[in-house]
Amino acid sequence: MVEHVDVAVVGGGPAGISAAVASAAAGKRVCLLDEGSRPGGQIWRHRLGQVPDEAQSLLTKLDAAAVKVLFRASVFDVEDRQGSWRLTLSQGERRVAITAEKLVLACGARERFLPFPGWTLPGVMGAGGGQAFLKEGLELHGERVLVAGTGPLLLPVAASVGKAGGRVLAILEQTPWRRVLGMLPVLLAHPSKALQAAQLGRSLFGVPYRPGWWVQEAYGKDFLEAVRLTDGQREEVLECRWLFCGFGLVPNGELGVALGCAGTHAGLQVNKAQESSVNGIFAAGELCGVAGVDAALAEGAIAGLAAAGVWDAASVEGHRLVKARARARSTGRQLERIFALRPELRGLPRPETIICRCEDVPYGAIDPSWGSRETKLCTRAGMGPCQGRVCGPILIYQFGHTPDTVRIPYKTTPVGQLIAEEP
Amino acid sequence: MADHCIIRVDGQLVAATSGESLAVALLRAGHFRFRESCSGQARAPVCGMGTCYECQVRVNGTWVRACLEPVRAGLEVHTDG
Repeated sequence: MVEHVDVAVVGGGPAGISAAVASAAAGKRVCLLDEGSRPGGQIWRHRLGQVPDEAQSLLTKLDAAAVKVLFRASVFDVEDRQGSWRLTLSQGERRVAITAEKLVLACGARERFLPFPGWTLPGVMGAGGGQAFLKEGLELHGERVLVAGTGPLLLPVAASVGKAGGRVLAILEQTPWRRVLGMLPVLLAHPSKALQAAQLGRSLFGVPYRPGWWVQEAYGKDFLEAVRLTDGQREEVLECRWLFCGFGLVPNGELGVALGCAGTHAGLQVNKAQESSVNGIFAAGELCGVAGVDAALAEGAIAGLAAAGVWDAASVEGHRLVKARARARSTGRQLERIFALRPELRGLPRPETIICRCEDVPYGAIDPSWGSRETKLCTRAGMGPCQGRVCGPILIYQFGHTPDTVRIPYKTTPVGQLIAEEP
Repeated sequence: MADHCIIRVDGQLVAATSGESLAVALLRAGHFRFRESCSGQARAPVCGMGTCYECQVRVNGTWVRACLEPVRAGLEVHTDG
């Protein structure tokens, strides 16, 4: 049986939950879909029964709202059915179909990885990846951990490493000091963020924060053993067991782009009511451009109200949401400038360094004159199970590629479910 | 409350907690070779959120992303390790 709802929300982080709660409060039948096992997305990732304080109020509202939530659900097809949308998703061994009058895309963002020799070794993880596992209960028993990459995320990651019993050797921030200092006005403008930063600073007391440094190479046989770092002039080698390394976030815009929404890999375009260029498809949060949880919460609520047909920018609540959105977006743009990637990082891969981890395509196999389609056809880069979600942003950064078109299945799906007859 | 359970990983019994991420249970038990890449390299979890597919293992015969798979008592897990 195909279930019909008024609003289907794809993505169960702050933006998606906010949208689902807003639509449900307006009396709509709402379905919320997420690939994870619990609501909250990556920022509010938690162990069973240990909801983070800042997520309590919204998750309680979600519990109380008449929202049907499907976890561990990957949307692999969306069809335009004359004014409504039909979503097909894979949920474990089940194939599920849902039709919806309106769609809210709140697919969030993923981490940006950059290739350097040794980055495929077990023990080298994303900074957010490491954080996710620490939130899920990974313990580090005094092991030596290096946190590297860029952005404000590195600080809470390092704090989590310490809490999990790991020893943080240093935090390597590729942005130089003079640009990191650009954070001061941002913090002054946001007292709550300044407080967070101060708390983090206290828990990281004694951990070297090294702006202007980055990882050049990771060494090890079966597992990470050491890392070579540089500031462009000096070099050092540190013995370590784990490297948590991430270079900011990339919007998960694939589904929107595939459905014809205007925008790019850097973010979908939306109007003031969070509606995309395609009638009936709304988007909120990181997939409209990375701007953090405050933007996600405000935009999610606006999208949810707009999808329910009750968005009123002139109301008191509407006014508050518009203001919160503008403020968060402006901070997002400031952070993007401060933590822009330095060009030296492009020079890290050697010819044998893997670029596409799914298909083991080395850097040297890619002709810099090729575009994304040629690279795909000649090397299979981007044709593995992650469908180019890891190497796509790398190819854009290294070679200036324009991303290739997105096709179904939007997520890797068992063949049996792809070809299944509709019940 | 933590709900302890037993799963079987490559034939060995491993203690885990119901509902936790299978990737965490495997890392805690010292498994660092989740899958072997097409050119034979060892790979382990990277993104932690179901994007990169580096943590794929077989559970009861089906490929799953270990980071998204909740642990249940009696899971039969096969890695490439």
